Amino acid sequence: MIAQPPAGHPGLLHPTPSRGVEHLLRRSDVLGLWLTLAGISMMFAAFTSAYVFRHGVSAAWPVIPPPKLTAFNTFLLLLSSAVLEGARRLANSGRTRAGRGLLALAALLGFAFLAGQCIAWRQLARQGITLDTNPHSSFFYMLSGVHGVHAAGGVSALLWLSGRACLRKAEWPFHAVGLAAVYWHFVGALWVYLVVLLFL
Amino acid sequence: MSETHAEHEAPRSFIRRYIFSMDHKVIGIQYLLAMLLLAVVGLALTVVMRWHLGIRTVLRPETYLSLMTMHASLMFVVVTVTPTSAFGNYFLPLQVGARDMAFPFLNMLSFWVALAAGLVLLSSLIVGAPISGWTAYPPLSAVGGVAGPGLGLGQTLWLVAVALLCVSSMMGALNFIATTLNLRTRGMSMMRLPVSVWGWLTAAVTGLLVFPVLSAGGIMLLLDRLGKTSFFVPSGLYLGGEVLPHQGGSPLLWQHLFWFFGHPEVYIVIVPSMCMVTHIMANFARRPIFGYRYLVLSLFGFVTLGGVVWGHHMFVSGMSPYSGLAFSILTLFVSIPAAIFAISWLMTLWGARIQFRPPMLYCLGFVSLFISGGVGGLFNAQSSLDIYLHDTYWVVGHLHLLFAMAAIFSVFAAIHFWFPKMFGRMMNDTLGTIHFWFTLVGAYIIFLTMHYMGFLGHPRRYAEISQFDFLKPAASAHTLISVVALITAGAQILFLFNFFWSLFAGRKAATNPWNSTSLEWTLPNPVPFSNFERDIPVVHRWAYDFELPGGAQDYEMQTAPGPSMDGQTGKGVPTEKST
Repeated sequence: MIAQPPAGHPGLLHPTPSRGVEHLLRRSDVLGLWLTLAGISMMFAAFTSAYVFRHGVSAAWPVIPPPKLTAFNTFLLLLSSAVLEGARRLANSGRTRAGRGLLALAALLGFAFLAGQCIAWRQLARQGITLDTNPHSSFFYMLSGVHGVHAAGGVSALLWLSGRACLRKAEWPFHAVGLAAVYWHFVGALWVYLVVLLFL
Repeated sequence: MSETHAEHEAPRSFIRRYIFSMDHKVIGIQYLLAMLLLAVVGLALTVVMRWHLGIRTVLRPETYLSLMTMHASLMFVVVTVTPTSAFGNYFLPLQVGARDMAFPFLNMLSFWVALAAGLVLLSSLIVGAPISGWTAYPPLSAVGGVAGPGLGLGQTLWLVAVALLCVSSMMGALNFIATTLNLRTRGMSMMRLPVSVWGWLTAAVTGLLVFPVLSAGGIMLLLDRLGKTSFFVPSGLYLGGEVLPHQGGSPLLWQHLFWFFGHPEVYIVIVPSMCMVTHIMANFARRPIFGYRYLVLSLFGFVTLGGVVWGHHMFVSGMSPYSGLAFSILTLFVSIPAAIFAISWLMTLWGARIQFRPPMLYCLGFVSLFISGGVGGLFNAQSSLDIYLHDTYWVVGHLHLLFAMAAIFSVFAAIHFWFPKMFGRMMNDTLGTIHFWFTLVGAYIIFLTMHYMGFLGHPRRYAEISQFDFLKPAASAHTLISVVALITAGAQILFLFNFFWSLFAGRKAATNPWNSTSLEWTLPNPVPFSNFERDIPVVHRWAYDFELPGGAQDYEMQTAPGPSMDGQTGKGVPTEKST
């Protein structure tokens, strides 16, 4: 949850010419975001150590084939990240109109990634590979699932932001888009990491 | 978000102001009351268990185990949440000079998720609580109802409660860190923060790093239970007349994940407790804190060491003796930051004109429990000794003396100390003093006797010992503990009466009844919605300028201009002019 600087806020701290109230609130949001990413990283670090440990104590370690859609889904997610970065940069250079379109495109690509992940799960299940097939499949479903929940959070934020930017014609939410972009790049990088961990 | 704190914009409706409130002060009180409720339930379970163990056998063994699990789980929530989320929520923004937490909405959410966690935990008591203990070791906890009573739905609800608590703690941690780092008032440098704020900050940073690890373990355990995966369940487990389908999992993996969280969790509880005690103690000793800078440094020591000593909970798991040695040595290092705190307390008290009011009594009780409990830790920390002591009552006694009792004493100290600011009235000193002595003496008799039973080799978690000849001498010890436990539990009624009676009929409190120095005592009772009605004050000194020579008063508020007495943070440094 990202607090928006409310209009007419009396100031959580002393505003000074160099350090306005808005600046302080934004700095808190940025800090809050990075702390969130630290927390999520710790969670996946724990999953990673569990993966290495579980692999280490197993006599046999059958590996499931990656779902056919994995490469395409990864491409969608990274493309979405790149498009969002483009939107952010366009808007920062004053071209918010073009930024709007790219922002919406990034949200749609993110949504497509989630849909693609669901299809990938179904593909695997149709091959007879389910959550309890072997430890590797358990880790795949669990890690992609937990990643998906975090990605769904990011997609919701992107949809909400693009809705705000496109429909209400409100002022471009520079601050919120900046935060969303950092989070979304993190989600993309995390997915690449998981693919490498599981399949390479 | 117009709901964010804005001056003259306090929400008018009762629901927005007192129920779904984003005001950190209301949220702090909500946390406190919710945790009081859970603590009363946890205490009631103790009464039943002690009646069973020492007076008359009234429980089936499985019921005993489920009550034991629930007592531990509930009390764990209480001691984890109360020092930081109740008092930190109310007083951190006031002490740093902010109008609210950095993310008020998140703060509200964190309370309601924590409340949901508490209610789900209580509901598992109703549907049949798990018998797997508060550590929920697999395979007992991982294979469902076939493994025993309460291990079906009860254990699932227990895990859901844990997951909710993780989410709530994460949201709280974000707020504590962002508020401390970003919303301090002018002049409030990090080295001028009251020690209590350092404690809450340390707990938040630790929680941010380790609650996600517990969540990861919890997700895997849930999948083992509900999705038939084999993260923690070994092959060939024969239960309920059949071989379970799980293959090749490792129960040890859960222990590693759990204790990687579990040990820092101890510091999430005890560090803010120690820091609140340090803060309150200076006030009643009327002395500057001894070695403030070293206390802050030792907090870093706690966080760092807390992350590398989890193996000392697993000495009997069959780990390599070399790992055990490494964990032993690292664990013994914890005595360094702990000793720094203990020395600071003793030096602060040395030669002080101590005011023996109830908050101070609880602080002194805390120091006593912390040091005597801590000495027991030196035994546990050595793997060669711990292998003998680990599954005995020694550990029960050690945990309760150092961790449970000390944490609860810090909460009592904090309640008595901050009650005037939270509720505008004073608690009764006489009742507080009587309650203190009953609880302190009770705690020592109960838990020192448990240490003795540990030496006797009395295993913990046994519902019944009459079949074991070698435990015959322990029967009278059980009776002694039970009688004292019932008296001590009864004495808690004094506290509850004092709390609720003082809420309505206590003497009206002055703005600064303890002659204290930090920013919350500059505020009127009740504290206004946006905390500081006009401008936020500028801070000129640390919070421990006591024992001032000459003059009418022996202390200076943090807002008072002029040079600070403090030899570490302010001396010789020109302070800002008052605005």
